[in-house]
Amino acid sequence: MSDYDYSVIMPVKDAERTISQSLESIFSQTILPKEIIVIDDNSTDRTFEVVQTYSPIIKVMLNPKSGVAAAVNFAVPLVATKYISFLDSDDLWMPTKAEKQIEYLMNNPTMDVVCSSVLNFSKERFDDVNFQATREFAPSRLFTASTFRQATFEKFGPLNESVGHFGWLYTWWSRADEAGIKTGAINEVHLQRRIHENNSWVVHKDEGHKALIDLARDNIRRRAHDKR
Amino acid sequence: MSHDYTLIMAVMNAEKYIGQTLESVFNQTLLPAEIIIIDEFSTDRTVEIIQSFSPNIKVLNNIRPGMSAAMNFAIPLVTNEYIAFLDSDDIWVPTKAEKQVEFLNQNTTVDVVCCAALNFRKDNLEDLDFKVYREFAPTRLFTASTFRASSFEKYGFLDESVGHFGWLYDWWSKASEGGINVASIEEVLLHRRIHESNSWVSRRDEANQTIVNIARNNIKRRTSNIPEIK
Repeated sequence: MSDYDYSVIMPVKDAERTISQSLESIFSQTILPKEIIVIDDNSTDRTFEVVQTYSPIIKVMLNPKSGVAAAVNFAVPLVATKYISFLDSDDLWMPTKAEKQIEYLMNNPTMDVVCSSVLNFSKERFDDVNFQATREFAPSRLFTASTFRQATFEKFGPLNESVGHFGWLYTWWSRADEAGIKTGAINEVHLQRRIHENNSWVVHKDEGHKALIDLARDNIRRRAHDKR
Repeated sequence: MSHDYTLIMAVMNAEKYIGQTLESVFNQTLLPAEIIIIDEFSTDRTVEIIQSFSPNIKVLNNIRPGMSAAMNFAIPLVTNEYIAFLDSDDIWVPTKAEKQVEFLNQNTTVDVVCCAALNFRKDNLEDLDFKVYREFAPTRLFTASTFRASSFEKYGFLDESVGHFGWLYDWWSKASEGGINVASIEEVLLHRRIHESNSWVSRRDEANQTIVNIARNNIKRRTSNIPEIK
């Protein structure tokens, strides 16, 4: 096993139009992953077929439950490498993303996770591959822009599957912050993020905002409990 | 009646003014019970300067990109009754928090209170002595307001998909439709720094386009219940 071994976890659902481009961006990495674990959330299009024939290093499995959080929780224990990264099925990695993030974690042994800057892209038509850059963003802790140590999930726990779309991401980081997670950042664009009308953050906005309310209530409850 | 408020700030590479801004917070006659700063992984001395003020300031890294995402991350962490916001280049007048919190305590049906603002500008970027530029009547800038924390549960969180300039207009549009009760203190409690890198100046076209989009969304939302005329 090499020091650079990493796995990619991709939760997918009805992504036949973009999944090949996303996979291509993995296969264009300067360091290839040991394995790619694709968790298919019961797609009704050809996603499963497209992925299955793509490469022998891809394991594709059906999500035993539903939702991104459940897919990630199912995949993480299957990982046999030291590093784990994630890729959304409509995003694209820049070719040196994996190499630079893994090197960062090697050189900074106290960091649990590292993320990078992202560039948003939009397009006229959904199948148009010539995206136009709309805006560059400073690093943020999107899973799809990050590489984690496998041990990070042992230390900070799995994702909460019952808090919906915005929910799991905000909940996981909030609890990890409380527990003292250390995040590093590389100020270089390593992820191209596709902005379109079907982005889950747009489609599931109401569910997301409800999750934030639940999170706020939960924090107030916990604070009151701590005071007693 | 509680006087506890949380101050939320989103910062990125703000080393130039963050010291002055935080000084204006620590000069308040009513200090915040908690300060949460969402840092977009600043590469300058921003975090160091923040930490030199107090080890109790919570500095957290942004989870999703952008200002509205930073606020959506911070707001649910608040367990105090009131929330105030402050832009990393603005300055509070010493009685800002006290007057606004007192106002909300005395006016229990008011969701949010804002104040008048004084714009400052300077001749060159290095100049820290800003000149008074213009006084403005109260407006609903987040940086000039104190909110009941419950406002976000009642009127919703910020829409992260409407862009850097969109979330403010979008939130107030929806909150107004939802019947939010806004009051104002007719007194300058905020000094607003105007400079070339203010995003409304440097990204004017994007801002204007966003406002057109918000207007369209509003029309769509408000007419969605009206049956189509055939």
